[in-house]
Amino acid sequence: MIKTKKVELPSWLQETRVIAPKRGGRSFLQQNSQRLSQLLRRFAQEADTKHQPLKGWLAPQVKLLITLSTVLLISLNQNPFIAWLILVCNLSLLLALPPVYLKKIIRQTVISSLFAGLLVLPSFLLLPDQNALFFFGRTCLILLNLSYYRTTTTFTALITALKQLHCPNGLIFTVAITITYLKLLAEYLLGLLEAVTLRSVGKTAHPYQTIGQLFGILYLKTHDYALALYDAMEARGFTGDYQKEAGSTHHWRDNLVLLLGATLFGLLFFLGS
Amino acid sequence: MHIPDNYLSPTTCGTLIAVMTPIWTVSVLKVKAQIKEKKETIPLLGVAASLAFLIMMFNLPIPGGTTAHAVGGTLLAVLLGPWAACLALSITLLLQALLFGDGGILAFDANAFNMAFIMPFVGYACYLIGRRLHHEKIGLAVGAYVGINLAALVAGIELGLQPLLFHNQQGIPLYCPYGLNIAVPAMLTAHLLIVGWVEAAFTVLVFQFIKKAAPDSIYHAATKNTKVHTKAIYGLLAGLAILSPLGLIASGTAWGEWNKTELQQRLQTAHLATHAPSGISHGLHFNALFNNYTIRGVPLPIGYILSAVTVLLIFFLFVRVIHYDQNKES
Amino acid sequence: MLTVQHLNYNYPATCGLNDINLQIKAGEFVCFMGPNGSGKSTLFNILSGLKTASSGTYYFNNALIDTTFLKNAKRRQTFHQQVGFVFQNSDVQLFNLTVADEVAFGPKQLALSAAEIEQRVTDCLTLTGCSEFRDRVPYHLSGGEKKRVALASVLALNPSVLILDEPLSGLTPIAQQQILDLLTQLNQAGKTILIASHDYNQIKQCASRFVIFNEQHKIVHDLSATDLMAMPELGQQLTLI
Repeated sequence: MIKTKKVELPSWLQETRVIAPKRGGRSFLQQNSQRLSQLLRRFAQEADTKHQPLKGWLAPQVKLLITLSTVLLISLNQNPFIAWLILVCNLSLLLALPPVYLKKIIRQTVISSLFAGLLVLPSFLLLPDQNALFFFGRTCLILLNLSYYRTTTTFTALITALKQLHCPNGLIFTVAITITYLKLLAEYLLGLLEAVTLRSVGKTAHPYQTIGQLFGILYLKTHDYALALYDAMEARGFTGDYQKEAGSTHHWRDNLVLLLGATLFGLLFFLGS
Repeated sequence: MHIPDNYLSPTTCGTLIAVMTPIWTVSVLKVKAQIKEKKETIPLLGVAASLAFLIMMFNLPIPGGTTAHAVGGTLLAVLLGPWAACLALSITLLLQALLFGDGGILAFDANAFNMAFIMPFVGYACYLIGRRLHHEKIGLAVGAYVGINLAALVAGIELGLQPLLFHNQQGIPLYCPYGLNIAVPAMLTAHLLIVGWVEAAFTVLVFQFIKKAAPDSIYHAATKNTKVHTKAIYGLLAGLAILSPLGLIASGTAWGEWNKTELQQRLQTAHLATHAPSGISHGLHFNALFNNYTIRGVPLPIGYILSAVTVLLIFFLFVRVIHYDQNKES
Repeated sequence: MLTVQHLNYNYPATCGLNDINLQIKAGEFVCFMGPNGSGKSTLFNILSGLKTASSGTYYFNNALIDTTFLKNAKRRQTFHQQVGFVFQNSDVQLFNLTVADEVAFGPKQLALSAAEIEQRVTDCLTLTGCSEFRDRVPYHLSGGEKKRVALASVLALNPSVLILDEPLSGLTPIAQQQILDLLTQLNQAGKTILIASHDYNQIKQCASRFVIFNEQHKIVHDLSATDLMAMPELGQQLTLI
């Protein structure tokens, strides 16, 4: 056993004294911790192997293209009938989903639609006409489509889609890093927030002071991560060029859907305009 | 400030993609030059994009119990260099649009133009001027404030142009229903009064911390070119200075003297013609409710602003009530 | 002082804690042992109010600690003042510009006089052996130094319960002994100490009670140090954890 010099405890440490806090506050800590936990939960769900993953019957790149063109179509279209048709298609697609996803999509869509509605409300209050309603309806429809895409697409699927669409490798590489480090940095920030929470025992100086420090540290961490990552890349023989990806994973099903989609898009485009 | 889908016409989005493509290309080239000096810039782009994501996600408290969030455009431009910041912010916006539901997919390029181009470059220009005048922090604060407000102004103009450019035969707007007279002041008041200050305070505090804790990690432009740079920057700022009051005037009467009569005509058709076809929606319950509220004789823009204010007030009332409930519960 | 009944905690994918029952009296020195991922950190997170249990109850000084309790800012702040927590990863626990600021962060909020704050900062830095780097940036310190600064910053609030998650890892043997001596002294002064550690041989000199987790996130043993001395086989097992 190592002998160390005995130190005396100061008197204030030997007594038990609880000082009542003067003023509450600091709800932003809790609020942001919750938001970060939500973000991390999404990462956890993707990594979760027990949970049945959603079977994609379309290649990721085709799904991305279809979503993009649907949004474009809704945006271009001024014919309520076509919007209705798209809605019917969407609803039947939704029916095929497991209830867990269904609930998420509906909740997201309703919340974002409410906000969109709030934005259009003044114009509608002043000039209540069908067109404002139709505009609002289209916005909701786009929100539904985007929410469907978001909920049913994993991060890896998005990266695959970008690869298959022949995006520059540098871009794909960066997007992959962003997604990976988003999780790490979010965990780090959550840890920092918890540390601040634990030592927030009363009235402080301006909260912005603390927030400035938190993000300052987060930037230092960002920089360190980048340095470590570069070293790791170099150790694995990274020369500054990105490797080419393997061939496409196109399936006959995907080609069929693309063809169908293109025909439909063309047809609807003519009808709509 | 994230513009959602359907508020901008696909044509506007297409135009902005055309604008952004050369900017992205130049950024990639500039960053490649930067990589030669600092190798870690390659992975730094990706990691910085995730940092930008967290900055945009973080709720900053503002007096009155509500929250705002910073964008961090100027901050990243100063820390990483404007070109790298442009790329990192673009990637953040792309991921937000595709995976997290902030901002639209088609409107991605508009958002990138506002937040990944205008904001970092304007902010960085102000910072450089401040640094030359030996008031780095003031330059930074001004840069953050001006940067976000200019971005908001441009977003307001993009939105406000929609009813002028895209409407049907009856003059009813197809996309964003608010003209320049509403969109621009709506975007600007929020940013001039609150968000701009939040952004400035956030930027300066974070920068100050990093400057003290690890000054080496901050980007420094090659010293050779600074003179040319600052000249160009002064030019850019002067141009913007002339432009920005123009944008403000847009809320009044004289936006773009160049086609005033045409504009006014269009405005009139856009709004007054709607009285006739509003009969179409006779079947609707709402119509009966609000018929008496259509304030005849009141100039339309004022009416618009009034109702916008009303809705805002209702919104804040809700927020207050909810906030109160939450406090009471605990 | 701390009472935990039928506590369960579930992570989105896995279980974190499985039916935990525990009663800790004021002034105890409890050591938590068990394999990695057996639930020690999760339990500490709940005891310090960072997480709330999925089911079951947790009482601190007869007050039920749950989401409604923690929502109230004043009660939460008083609670955090009494329960100090040193993270396993002290990297995230430090967020100030200098070590001295770091330690002063808590006391500054307690409406103490400037002299009193300075007193606390100096005392805590001396006790943990951090005095020589009081003006350095915590972010750039080494792992062991960070650990000690984190302990100093928690100590500055004078908590009556001190929770430490692996406080000895990454420290030099001398620094480890210093920290253990300090904890023993604090314990003698009446502080309750909960510690998680893998080093049975080192911790057995000061802990008065041992709580042992298994891989199913359950408590399998809860016994006093003297009882444990009488079971050399178990002691042998613990040195291997």
